[in-house]
Amino acid sequence: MITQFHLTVFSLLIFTVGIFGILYNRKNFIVILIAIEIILLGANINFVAVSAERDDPAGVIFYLLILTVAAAEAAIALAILSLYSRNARNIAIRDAVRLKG
Amino acid sequence: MDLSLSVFYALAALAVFSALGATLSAGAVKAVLFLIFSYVNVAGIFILIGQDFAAMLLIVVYVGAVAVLFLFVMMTLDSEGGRSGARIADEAPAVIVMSIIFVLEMIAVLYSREANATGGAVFYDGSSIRDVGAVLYTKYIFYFQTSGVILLLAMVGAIALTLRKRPGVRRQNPAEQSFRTPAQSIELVSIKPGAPLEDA
Repeated sequence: MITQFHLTVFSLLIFTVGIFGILYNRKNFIVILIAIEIILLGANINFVAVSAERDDPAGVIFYLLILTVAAAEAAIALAILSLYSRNARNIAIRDAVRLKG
Repeated sequence: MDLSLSVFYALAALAVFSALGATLSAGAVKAVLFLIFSYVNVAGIFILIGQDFAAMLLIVVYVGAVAVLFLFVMMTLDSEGGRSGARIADEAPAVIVMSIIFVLEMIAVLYSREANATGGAVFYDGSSIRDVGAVLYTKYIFYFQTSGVILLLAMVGAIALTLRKRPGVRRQNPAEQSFRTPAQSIELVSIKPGAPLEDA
């Protein structure tokens, strides 16, 4: 049987993969955005798992809210990325030094 | 070990490894495809614990909207992005070690807490979509409305950021057209027969 421990460890692993992706991959913005989506997925798994354990739909409501924020964040971030690549001609993070400070 | 746990292990392993593949893959398109595969596996786990609504939402919103948005944006960009030398961070070994330590530490904490807790089977009894609907439009109506406002803000923000006004493009200005009066637009000139036309 699937216990809460299994699901929590699974969400922890997904979350850590996301953090690892942000820290490890400095290639471009897109992979970092994907890693942020993975982190939010890890948080979502926790909410849904607790909701299933307690038979309380509140966890799924919070999952819905996180999903909304993740979608909004992806849309805004990709708009900024599109704007940046239009101005800077590439999307390498290492070259994003226009804003000194 | 019963069947649901075996299926859970298989789906979880596929989800974690495809998430890892998304962060490690060479091309951004491959990364998005790995991400979609990870989402599908997590949706399978959600179905396994009885959360059908969450699983369908994951497929519809993440796979159907967010991942497609990523692919659309990458279509318009140089997705390989920059020099290949700047691919990974210099401190990559430290990051790997730190991630492994973090996972082991958190598992140790969870395991010590789990040892004196009663671990029952996790399964959502009843219809998840009906229960969610029952509270979503009553108890959590404010959050529901707020998420709508957030989505509107994201939409307006994304359009406002990427809207580009090019010079030299002839466009209609409906307001200007509506507020024109005959006095501004028409000039009555009396022309004598045989005389040449002159510019006003």
